[in-house]
Amino acid sequence: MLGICNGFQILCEAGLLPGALMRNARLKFLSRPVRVRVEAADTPFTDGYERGEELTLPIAHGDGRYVADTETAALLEANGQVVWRYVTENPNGSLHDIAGVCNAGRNVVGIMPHPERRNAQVLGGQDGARVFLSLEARNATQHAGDMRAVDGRHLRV
Amino acid sequence: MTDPQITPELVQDHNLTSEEYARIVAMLGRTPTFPELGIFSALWSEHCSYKHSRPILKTFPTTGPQVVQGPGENAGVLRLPGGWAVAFKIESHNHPSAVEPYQGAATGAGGILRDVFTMGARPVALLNSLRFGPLEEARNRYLFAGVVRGIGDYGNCVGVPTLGGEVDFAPGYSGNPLVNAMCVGVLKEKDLIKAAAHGVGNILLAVGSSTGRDGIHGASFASEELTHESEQRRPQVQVGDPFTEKLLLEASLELIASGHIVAIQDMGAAGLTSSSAEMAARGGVGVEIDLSKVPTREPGMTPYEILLSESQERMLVVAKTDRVKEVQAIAAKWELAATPIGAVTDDGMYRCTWQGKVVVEIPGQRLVDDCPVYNPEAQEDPIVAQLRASAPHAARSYTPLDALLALLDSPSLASKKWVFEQYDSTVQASTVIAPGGDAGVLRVRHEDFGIAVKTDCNSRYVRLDPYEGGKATVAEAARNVACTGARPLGITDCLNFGSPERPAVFYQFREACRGIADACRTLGTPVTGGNVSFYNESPTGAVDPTPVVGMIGLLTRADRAVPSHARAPGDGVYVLGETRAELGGSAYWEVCEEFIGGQPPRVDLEVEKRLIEFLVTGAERGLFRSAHDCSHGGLGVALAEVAMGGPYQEAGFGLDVDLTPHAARLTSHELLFSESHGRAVITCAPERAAAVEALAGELGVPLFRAGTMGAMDGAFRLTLRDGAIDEPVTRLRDVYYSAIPRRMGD
Repeated sequence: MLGICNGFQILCEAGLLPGALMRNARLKFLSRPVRVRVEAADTPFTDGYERGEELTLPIAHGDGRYVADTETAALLEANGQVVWRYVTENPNGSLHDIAGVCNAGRNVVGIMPHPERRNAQVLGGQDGARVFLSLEARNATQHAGDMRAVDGRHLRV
Repeated sequence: MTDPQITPELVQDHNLTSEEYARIVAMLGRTPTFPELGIFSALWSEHCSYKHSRPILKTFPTTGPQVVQGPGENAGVLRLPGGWAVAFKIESHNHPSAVEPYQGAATGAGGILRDVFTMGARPVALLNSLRFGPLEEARNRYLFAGVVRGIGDYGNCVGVPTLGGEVDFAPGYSGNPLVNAMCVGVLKEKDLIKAAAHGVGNILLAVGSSTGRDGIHGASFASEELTHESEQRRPQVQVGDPFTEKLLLEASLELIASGHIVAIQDMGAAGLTSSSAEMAARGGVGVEIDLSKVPTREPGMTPYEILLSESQERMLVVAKTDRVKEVQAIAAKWELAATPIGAVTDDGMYRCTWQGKVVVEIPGQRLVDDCPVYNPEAQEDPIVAQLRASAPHAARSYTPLDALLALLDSPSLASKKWVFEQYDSTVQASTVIAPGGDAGVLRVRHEDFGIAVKTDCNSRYVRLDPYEGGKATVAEAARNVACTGARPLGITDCLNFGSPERPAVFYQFREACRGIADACRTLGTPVTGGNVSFYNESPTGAVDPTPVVGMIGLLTRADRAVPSHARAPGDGVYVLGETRAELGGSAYWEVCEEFIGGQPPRVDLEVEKRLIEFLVTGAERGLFRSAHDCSHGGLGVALAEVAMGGPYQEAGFGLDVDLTPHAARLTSHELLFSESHGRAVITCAPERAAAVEALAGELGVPLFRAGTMGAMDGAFRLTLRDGAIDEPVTRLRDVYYSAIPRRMGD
């Protein structure tokens, strides 16, 4: 299950993901591209990426400041549940620069930036495309063994 | 509750003159009822009737092979490739925003969205055009912040990207800000629906929110001058609910596609009254409405209040006689009520009943068409003629660099990043060029083409020379979309002026419209509709005349869209067009000499046409790395903007340009800051230089090879005959990007 932006907020409120999303630190809605680093490539939505890869993705939110209590935050870090982290600049004051997390079972993932808004060259880049292609490739492989070349390389499944 | 007696005072309170009232009595053959008086007051207000502007608006060119729907509908429609069409319209929400900036601006966006999706189009972009007084005043900062937040929140919640706009600041807008909102939607041309009621016996349904007491007489409020008492109008400002709007959008598009309805219109300005009367008049039929069936939010609402409420997120739908249940089912799917409130009749009467009694009975066509039309006196203010003939007293000793930095720091010219960062500009995942460039560009999924959109107006030019100013507004908007590679297709306009009853104001209006009409004719961009906003006056006087143009352009290939900013070191820098000694109305005189006057630059429309052809052809052939309009702030600011890079670029580029051979007779300041029209700055890869030069020669566009782009974070170097600028581009960026946040305390 993947929750993007409002979807991430819903997953947190539904208790499917730890933590919560609060008003941006600067108290304003913020719409701009940001840099994030892939911290975990072992989820169904990130296994098309390399760990440590840096991406440009747009954000557009007023409530994107990720918070969690100290204990939860430590657990997230220890278990590698931080999936994406803001680099260069933390746009909203999120704890530990967290941009996206997953649950302990690694099958529920939430992210504040919008990978779906940057999935084609005509939109200024396709750094977000592999979030969806990862899933598609996994599905395809499970069902038909159909591997697809993406960005000139084959997806690792 | 009994209705008040109709007295001359009551008539006056309804903004109707005694002549207009006499016309009403003659039409009805009796004294109007109180609800009827309210109806006439709303429909014969300037906002709804265009009674002072109609004869002038008729002079606009409105036809062309690309026009699917011209003025007279909820929105204009232009043809796109592949059976697609684009519906678009701009509208003002100035008066509500002056007293309640957040809701005023939010509902401005909401209203214009409804005008577009009632044509059967899915909204794909919002734009705006905003004017405020100087940010030094706390009240202006409050209005600016509130309006930006209102637009941003509404657009974000309803899921439509804000793709661009413009913001300007001048003392003339203190106390009367301008808030114009534009919406752009796409549809398949065959799915277009018009708001004309027809089919006797067809059923009128109120769809969406229930009717409350908010916004009663909004249309009349918008047709009077702002006074110190206007603050008391605050409760009249409507409150928006973008989540209901989203449901209404989906329900409306589904209803239109279903074939169950024949017409649909927003209950916007003057609410139920205008939507029902206008749909009936367009279709040449009568309607009968039972007001007691209209769902209300509050108990005890009177027929008068129900007719004139401007509660938001409501639609009037005309359903086929036997499809009421189907319409209700679609509405219910989107959690909306759809209540039958009346029917189409064959007697041409606009009739309303209340608890079985007829309370309104007016000949429908005459209600809409017989509003008196005025041809007010037009006379230029002699002070303006004097101002146009004057120049600043003594030139101050600004070095070229100091002048450039002062311009980059002026809020009118500085980066609007603080503004557009608060707008969701990427929702719907189709944004090709986001705000911050010459124009916004979006793609249409599964198609090659793209749509460029831009709003524009330089009110300084219009104030000093309304005819040239009107021409310049269209020319600049066309140039802006052409810089992205789009061919200008057509416009919508929002004409913001003071009181038309003052000859000096009506002169501005008439001349600006003549300029717009001439420019649209030559550039082949017909006017497809728009809005007139008069009475933009506060106790300190009329606003600067501000005829805003919303331009649509078509890119044959969205993936060839050209950005405004340089993208690679070593690229060639070219100036297109001629620079003349034209500092009249310039930002340089305003900022550095504190003087707004002189003859604004004149527009040669044939020159503009050739430049547009060059920009569009060059982009289609993939010749340019960047293209940027050269206008407000002149060549100095244009070159700086090219070099400083986009708002999210980590660093700017150096630039090395020698301007000594360009327009050699001009002084440095004239060369750098004249705002001559018909110019642009492009950059191109070295291997494309020959093709660029050949194309300019072929099309007869003057081209000057000015220099090359330098390294990231390099020096911004301009060589002039009697001076030079040599400054790290980082310093320019710091000034340009911090000017507005600093004033807003961020």
